[in-house]
Amino acid sequence: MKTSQSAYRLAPWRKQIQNILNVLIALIFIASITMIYLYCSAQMTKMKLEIQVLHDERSSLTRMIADNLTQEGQITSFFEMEKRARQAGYIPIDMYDEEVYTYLPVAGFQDESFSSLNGVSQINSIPVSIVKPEYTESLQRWLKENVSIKKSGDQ
Amino acid sequence: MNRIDSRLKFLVIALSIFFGGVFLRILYLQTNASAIALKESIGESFEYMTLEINSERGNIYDRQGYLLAGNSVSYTVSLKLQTSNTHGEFIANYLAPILNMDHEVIKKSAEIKFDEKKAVEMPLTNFATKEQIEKIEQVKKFLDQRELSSFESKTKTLENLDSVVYYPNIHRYYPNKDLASNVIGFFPFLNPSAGASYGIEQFYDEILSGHSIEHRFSLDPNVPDTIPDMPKGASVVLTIDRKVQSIVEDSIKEAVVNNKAKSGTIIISNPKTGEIMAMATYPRIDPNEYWKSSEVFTKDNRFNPAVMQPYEVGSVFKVITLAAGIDSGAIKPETVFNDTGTYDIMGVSIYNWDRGAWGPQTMIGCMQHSLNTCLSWIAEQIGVDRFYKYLDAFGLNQPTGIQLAHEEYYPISKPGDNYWTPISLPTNSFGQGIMTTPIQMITAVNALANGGKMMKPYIVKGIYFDDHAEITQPEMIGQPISAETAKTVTEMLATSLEVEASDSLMEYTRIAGKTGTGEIAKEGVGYVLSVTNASFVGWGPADDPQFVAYVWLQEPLVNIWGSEVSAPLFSEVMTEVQPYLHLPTDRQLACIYTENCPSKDSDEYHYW
Repeated sequence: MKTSQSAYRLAPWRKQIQNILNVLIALIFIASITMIYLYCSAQMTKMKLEIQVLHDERSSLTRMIADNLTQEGQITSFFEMEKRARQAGYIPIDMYDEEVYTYLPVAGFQDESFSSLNGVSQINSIPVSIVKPEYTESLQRWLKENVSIKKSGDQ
Repeated sequence: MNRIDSRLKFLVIALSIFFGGVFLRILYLQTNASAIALKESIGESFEYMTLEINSERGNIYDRQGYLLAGNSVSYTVSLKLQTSNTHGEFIANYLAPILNMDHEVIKKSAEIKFDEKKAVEMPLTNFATKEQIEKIEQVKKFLDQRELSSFESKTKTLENLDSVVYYPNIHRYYPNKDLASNVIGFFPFLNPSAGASYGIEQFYDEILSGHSIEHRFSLDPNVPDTIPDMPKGASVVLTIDRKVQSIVEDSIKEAVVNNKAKSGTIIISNPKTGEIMAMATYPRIDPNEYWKSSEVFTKDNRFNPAVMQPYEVGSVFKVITLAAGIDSGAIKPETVFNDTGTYDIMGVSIYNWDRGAWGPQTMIGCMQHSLNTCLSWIAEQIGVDRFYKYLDAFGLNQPTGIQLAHEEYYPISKPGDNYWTPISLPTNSFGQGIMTTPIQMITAVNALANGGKMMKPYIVKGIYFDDHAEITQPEMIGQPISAETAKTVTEMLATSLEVEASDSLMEYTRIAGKTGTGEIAKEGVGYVLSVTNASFVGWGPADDPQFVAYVWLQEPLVNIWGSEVSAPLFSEVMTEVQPYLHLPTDRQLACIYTENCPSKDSDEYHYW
């Protein structure tokens, strides 16, 4: 029976270098993955903190707007306006004396109703998160949902 | 070499078995139901936080857009007991003058013994202002910058205000205080879970509150998430004008106080649309101090009597009977009734208010002298069934549906009902034995002032949602009488007031109307003549009515007669209010649209 045998073998130092390189490549790969993971995590954490800070700012602004609007309401309240008008020297009209006031129809005059409401701030948004679901779900869940949807769609 | 190979093989097999076992275990944990449930429950507890997010409550405005109810920021100031225990006196010295609180109260609060399970934090006030918080911050900063000697810092516990914390919160605020508070109601900001009470606040509580959601907020920093943007609750715009409301409120307050009445109510409405221009009652409370409502209001003196308190209106009701009589053809304006002073039915005699006999009277005379006998006779001429059908048609047997909470009505007893007797018909005809609210009465009378068309009363002009607005459209809810009847009755009642020279007459504007003095039945005593409900309903200008006003004084003690307390009050209020409703007087109209501007003293335009 004839057996064949290699005439040459890799030199041991070459083999060792190859092994070391293989391990290094594996380590670099793992380190790269870890680095990317850590980088993404750090970015997301930073973003999440920013979102929280912005949310606090928004809450604070909402409170401030509400407070300012009410303070304006307080300053222009009927009793305050009446007090200021009296201080400014105005006196109430005697409605029994018809000569002190007159009725004059003015063409094109429109009642002031609602005019002050034009500035009332209205938030045109809906109470849902603005982050797309793709950014908040796992790959596993995404595959599960999309594959199952496609399957049911195929049927 | 072989030995090494076999060892390596053994190691590979052992590792394979180990990793295979780990893999199988992972597979088991991933698929086993109880393991999944456990994982999820742990995840719920540690990975997510559930936040309840509420919208800011919507505002309430008057018809011109002036704020009647809004939201204001206040601060809850608390003490962290763990660090405040050691220096209560020091904290009280600084906080008492800033928060205007009693020194001892703060000191005692600060020295409450810290207990991790029972006493961690002690709130001092829920309503600290922004200025007060700024002052606390200034003091904190000043204390932080103190330079202590090395000896002091070693021997003495550092006294500061680090234990003082504060949280902002939004609370309901009513800038006009008690103005229109009977219409607005209140939101109990100290106890929000109790929900709004009375008026617009309660009727539109759900709409004003806006959205409330529970949001699962991930605690995992790798899961980006936002707290949703919540739109504010809808804003409600009322039909009332705060200037008009204020004039009417001042007048009703003065009348109630001067006549020592239990309460007073005035409503002004536009008969062509059903819009409520003013709805004033007295007493009222400042809704910023809503807790006083239980001290002021009772079962007999409700928060908003205009819609919540049915009562026997008395002779004011005669306008309804008269309209039914004319419309049914049972009587005509010139029909004569011979008043002998009594009207007998089933052995019971009905008398006039003065117990007098007025002889032959036309229907105008009947109204002018407010003859109970005559109205009893008219009701008999109309017939029982037809009379009650008219009352139904006038909407007096149902709530009006105005957008205010707790609207009450008192069902009318009809033939066949337990409490109805044949005597009910004549007594009902002049407003006794039948109870209605002022809002029911003014809605019914609106039909007389609007060519027979009855409009649904409304006090909300529009609702502003975050993405659209709903404007209230006038709605006709029936036509109980014909346009001709409405015109005839208006003319008759205008003439009757003029002939009577009523105190209700307005200078330069011709009005129609009727006074009423309803007797009140007291428990165990029956009707007591000295205790009355004094009312007046009037509308004008008589030839094309633009307003209807209803006045009611409950149990006035100084003067019990509607003609002497409510009628002049109507005249006073409407004279002052008319220019603000952009309504010219009859004389002003004549000056504008005719070549001859009548003299101020001309009889034609002078109705006093």
